[in-house]
Amino acid sequence: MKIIKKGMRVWITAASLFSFLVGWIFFAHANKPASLQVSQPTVSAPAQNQTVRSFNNNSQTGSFPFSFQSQSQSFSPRLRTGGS
Amino acid sequence: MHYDEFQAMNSAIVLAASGNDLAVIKSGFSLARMFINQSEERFTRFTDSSELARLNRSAGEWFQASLEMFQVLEEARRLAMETNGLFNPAILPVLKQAGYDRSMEEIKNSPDRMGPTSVIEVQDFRLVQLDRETHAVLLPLGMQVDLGGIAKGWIAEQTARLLAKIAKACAVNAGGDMFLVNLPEGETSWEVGLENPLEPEHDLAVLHVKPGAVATSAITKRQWKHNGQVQHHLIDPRSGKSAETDWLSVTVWAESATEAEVYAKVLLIAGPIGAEGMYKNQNSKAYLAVDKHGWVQGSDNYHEVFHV
Repeated sequence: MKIIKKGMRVWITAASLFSFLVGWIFFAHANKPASLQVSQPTVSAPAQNQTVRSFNNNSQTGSFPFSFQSQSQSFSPRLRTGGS
Repeated sequence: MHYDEFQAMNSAIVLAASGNDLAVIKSGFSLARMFINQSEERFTRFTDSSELARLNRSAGEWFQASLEMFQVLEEARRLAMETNGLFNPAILPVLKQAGYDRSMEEIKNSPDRMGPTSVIEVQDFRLVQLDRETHAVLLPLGMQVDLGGIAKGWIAEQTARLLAKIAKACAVNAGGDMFLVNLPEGETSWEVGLENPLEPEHDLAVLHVKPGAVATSAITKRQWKHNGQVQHHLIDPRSGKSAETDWLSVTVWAESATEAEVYAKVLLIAGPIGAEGMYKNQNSKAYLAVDKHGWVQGSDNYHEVFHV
């Protein structure tokens, strides 16, 4: 009886260890999740924390100073400017 | 606020004026329309009888200009000098060769055409001679000028100044070139929609603008196909071709409409890197630029005039 119990313990331990290792190897070699495609912004409201690049110093052209989200304005003034 | 809207200069015109006497406002709108129509006849390059067409035919000889034409030419030469020639109204031969030889309405209703592709060297508009006393003008031989944009800005400002004689506050918008006089009653700014250059029927933002001039130049508005290639009307005088720029549109605030119009154009042609040098010592102006991805960039003083 004791031998059977001992054998069961060894078998359960070995099976657990084997399952853990198989799982580890499987996930380690699995494909990485694809990065999300963020839709291109067109603009409605300014983001908070706007930082504005100075054009009076010698800074190089870097990231754009502020951006807008891709929703249209629900309200359009009578006066609009967009290029002639 | 009372409004009057109509089409002129191949653009949507909006007149806005505040005042208590509606009859006076209406007569002001009639005068403004008359002035705009007369100015269009003077400055258009699409009729042979306009003063501009006659000026272009006179190249190489002195031409007696009207006061209005002389004022626009004088301002154009001043701004050409100030921008080191990047603003150059003498690009007309290039525009014509690129297919912009008729009104934009006619071009958009006709198929792609083929034409010569040789590179045309753009003459330097700064070489134009102007006689202030007699209002005589001498274009160098072979030079042809297009005053489309700067004339539209000048007309918007002059019309607004005309309306201001009968209105407490007024605005004139000529296809995106606008001049704002005083403030609507109870307001601290004018509301101006900033068009999305990728979706012109939608606004990117509502700008709250102080009185003065606002103008936008965009490469997406006047496009057509010629020799199988997409062309736009903003010619880079350095290359003699449609400007290649990372920006889609630039909106400028300035004290005068001609300055706003010209700086919107040259900043757009110069692009993000060139704009840096171009914009130095121009603190009386402010700009917002929209790039190809819909991102907006502003000059460091943009918040002084544009509240988004």
